[in-house]
Amino acid sequence: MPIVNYKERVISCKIVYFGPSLGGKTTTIRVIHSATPEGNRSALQTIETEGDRTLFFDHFSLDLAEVGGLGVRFQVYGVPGEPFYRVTRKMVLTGADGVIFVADSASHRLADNVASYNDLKELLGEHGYDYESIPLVMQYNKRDLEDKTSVDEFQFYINERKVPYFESIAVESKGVGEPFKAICRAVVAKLNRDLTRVGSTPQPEPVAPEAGSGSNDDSIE
Amino acid sequence: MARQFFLLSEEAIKATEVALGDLVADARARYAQVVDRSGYVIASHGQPSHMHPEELGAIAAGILSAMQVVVNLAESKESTIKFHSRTMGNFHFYWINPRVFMLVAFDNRTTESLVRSKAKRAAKAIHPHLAQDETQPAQLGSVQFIEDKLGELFEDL
Repeated sequence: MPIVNYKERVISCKIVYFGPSLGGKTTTIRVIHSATPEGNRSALQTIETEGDRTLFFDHFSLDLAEVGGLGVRFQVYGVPGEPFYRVTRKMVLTGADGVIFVADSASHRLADNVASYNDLKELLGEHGYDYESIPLVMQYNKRDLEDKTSVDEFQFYINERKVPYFESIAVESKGVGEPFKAICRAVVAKLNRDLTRVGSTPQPEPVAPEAGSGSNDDSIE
Repeated sequence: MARQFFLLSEEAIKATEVALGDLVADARARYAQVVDRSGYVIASHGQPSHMHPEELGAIAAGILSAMQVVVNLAESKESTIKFHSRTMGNFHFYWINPRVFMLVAFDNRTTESLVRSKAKRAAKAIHPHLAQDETQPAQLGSVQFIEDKLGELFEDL
């Protein structure tokens, strides 16, 4: 749920990176964080185990201020991917306004991707979210691997909503900006629709993007 | 309609800050903040040692959620984490309402009982301010501005 702070004139939205362990969530967050100018970001918090695996969560905030209207602050979180950290994932999803699902393209990880995707759906349900309407984008990571899951397979197994998808190689800082921008756009668009409703004048729903219109215009293959 | 936003008026935040200021002074605490359970810091007073308030808020929300799972605190509005060291601060948590809690950092200049008592009083003062403004309309900056800014920031990614 977005938080509107009239004193700071900021709307705070929570974006969560979700996906299987070692899929590239933390790497993606680090790339996004380091690309953000210092004046627009908070420090990056990561709580890791000795093996550099995310234990609790990764977090930073990104400010987009605007003179006149309300600015937007994106609180960016990453969850630990290991199956046994389910409770922590549920906790981090609390109040999420948008989700980026980071899938691991290694072909032997397909089952892990599917399990993680199902976990996401279950946890959103447990939080009372309507899974069909929460802003969501797919980031198919590690596209440089030779033995990889095809985009068609991903679309079939883990993109049943046919939300926008993007291919990335997070370790090379490639392709991680577009999914982030896409989720920010989707969150802000939903926010504007909801704010219009709260502001009392009912507005028609904007035309939803065509199913299957996932973008891979910037395909890095 | 279910609440879609958590709307915080300037007056509500100022009143919360005043209550936190009184709490820190009266309880001889080091720092106090009010945090949404998703980790968003609504208001704060004092300096939280070496951490930025926003970082502490995110961690505190995580700790509190984790504690609620490990120990069923659903029936308890308050809990305290104490460290037996002179250099480390202690933390007292108090749920103001189901989605907002207060964190008070204190050290050996005060006592847990004094902090608990003053925190309870502060929570009572803050509670009505955070329960209002549910239907206040808001105006968001233009989506185009946000698109442009994001495009500019992440042009090379």
